[in-house]
Amino acid sequence: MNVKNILIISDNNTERISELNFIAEQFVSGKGNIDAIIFAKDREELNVKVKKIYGIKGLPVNSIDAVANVAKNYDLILTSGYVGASLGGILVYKLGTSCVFGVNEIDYDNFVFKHSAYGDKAIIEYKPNKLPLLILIKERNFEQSLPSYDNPETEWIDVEKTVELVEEKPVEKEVELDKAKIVVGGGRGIGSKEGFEVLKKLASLLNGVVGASRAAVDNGWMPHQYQIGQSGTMLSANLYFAFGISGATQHLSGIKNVKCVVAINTDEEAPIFKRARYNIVSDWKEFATAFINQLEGEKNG
Amino acid sequence: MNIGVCVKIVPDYEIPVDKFQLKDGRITGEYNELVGLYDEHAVEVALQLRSKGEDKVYIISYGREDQMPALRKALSMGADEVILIKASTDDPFVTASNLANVVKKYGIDAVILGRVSSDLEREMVPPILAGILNRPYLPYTISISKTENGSFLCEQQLDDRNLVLKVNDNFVVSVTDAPCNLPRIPNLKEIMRSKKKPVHFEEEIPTDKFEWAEEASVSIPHYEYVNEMLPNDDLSATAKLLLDKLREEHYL
Ligand SMILES: Cc1cc2nc3c(=O)[nH]c(=O)nc-3n(C[C@H](O)[C@H](O)[C@H](O)COP(=O)(O)OP(=O)(O)OC[C@H]3O[C@@H](n4cnc5c(N)ncnc54)[C@H](O)[C@@H]3O)c2cc1C
Repeated sequence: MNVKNILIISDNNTERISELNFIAEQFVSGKGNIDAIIFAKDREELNVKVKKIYGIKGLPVNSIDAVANVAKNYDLILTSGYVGASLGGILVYKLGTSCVFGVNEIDYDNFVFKHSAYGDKAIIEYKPNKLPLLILIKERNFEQSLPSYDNPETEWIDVEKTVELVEEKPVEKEVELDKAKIVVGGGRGIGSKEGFEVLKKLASLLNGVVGASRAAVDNGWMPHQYQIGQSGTMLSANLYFAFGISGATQHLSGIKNVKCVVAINTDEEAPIFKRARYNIVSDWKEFATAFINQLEGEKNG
Repeated sequence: MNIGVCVKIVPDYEIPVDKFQLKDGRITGEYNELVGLYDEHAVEVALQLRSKGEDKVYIISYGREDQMPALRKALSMGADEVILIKASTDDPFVTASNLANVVKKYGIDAVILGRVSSDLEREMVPPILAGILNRPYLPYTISISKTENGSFLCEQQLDDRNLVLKVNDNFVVSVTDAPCNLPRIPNLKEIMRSKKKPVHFEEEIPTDKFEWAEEASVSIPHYEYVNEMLPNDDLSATAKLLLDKLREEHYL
């Protein structure tokens, strides 16, 4: 496939842009253009060094026509995250481009795109046979490369104001779960918010951080930023404790790269025991308490 | 107001790896079918938006007739009626076109879907549907409320912040999970009532083929892990044993 022009569509998050830029670079290998549409509040936020930057100050939902108008001139359109979710599918429909979605691996030489389905139990490979192609990237699965074009040209584009932003509520992300080396995870089996206090205590004794399964997050025991798994954070920890987590494949997907997993579960048939290095059939709290006592005993004695 | 929740009945997404099989690139074998996980949250968002006695919540599914028992779950949560379109494919464009057709036919004002289906996970039907209907599309929505002047406030949950957006017209949202939209558990009375709620069957409409990238292959990845069961008769001793092992292997 002869790719000449690539368009990145993203918010102004550097990691996200760098991931999309890394992928773009693999396709052009020095011979084509990489431009970008970036959603940003002001010029300062638009500090992205691609050849041409189109800045948009509005919301993605108000920008469909403006974005489509730019995107129609490109062979490849790369997007991810909230902006990708807001615009990707609609652009595909409006522009009639070919499309690959939820892409977590690319074979650049053969132009093959991989997508995990059925909660990571199957891998679907797509082979597009025409351009233009829109690629929806599943975030944090690729390397990053910060764009470094010398003299970027900038153009702001106007968008509609049909939908109005009334409020923006920042949420605090206290820990960097994805970078932590030791993570103590809790699931539905923990049973309450108070239960997570015990896990927090254990995590702090181990110099680790706490994470949670989707079931625990949905029950409001931990904020959603702490969710581990396919639709949460992908861990890069060396050591992970799974307390009261059954080990659904969507959860396992987030601990794929963990070197050593310790599972504590009352059900000896729980699927997590097939993934973990060390298994303990026990009530989570009884074991966590014994573990905390052991660690505190060592510290004090 | 008519609220439509598009629901996909999917194979049990929690079936473990060793029971998962493929045939012609799709799941096969024995499994239960249920309402997709995000779709259940979408139903909950719709029920919270509905003003009782004024609004109607339709469950719209592009699926098979024998999936009605699974669809009843949505009715027993409190939805009013089901519209079942007889499906012939799992193509996202055909699915979205058929959903759009029913949205127009039944005069659905607010369209709510789950963020992603719990089987193929393509995340494509909601935006394509919004494209076809030419309505604003708000993904990652966790709740919707009405304002006094007839517009709607949609709260979206992003990684680092939540956004509250005001929409004046008909819209399409896709829902992500949050404690505020944890699906309610149907009670016995609602389960009984659900059996009497209306079900409309719709025939599929002819749709042009959309040229997606071709599916070249579908395969099952295999992972091998070594497991060791630690004794559990004396948990203090187990804790000590585990610590020794983790230290020896330099994890601690
Ligand atoms: C599209 C999609 C995306 C998803 N993404 C994610 C994701 O990112 N992350 C995620 O985690 N899930 C995700 N899920 C959900 C996933 O399928 C499971 O529903 C979820 O992981 C279950 O969480 P859990 O293991 O905590 O709960 P359960 O499956 O209910 O397991 C609870 C476990 O606790 C054990 N237990 C109970 N009591 C005790 C006790 N006292 N002591 C010890 N053990 C006890 C039980 O034996 C059981 O094994 C996703 C699903 C879908 C469809």
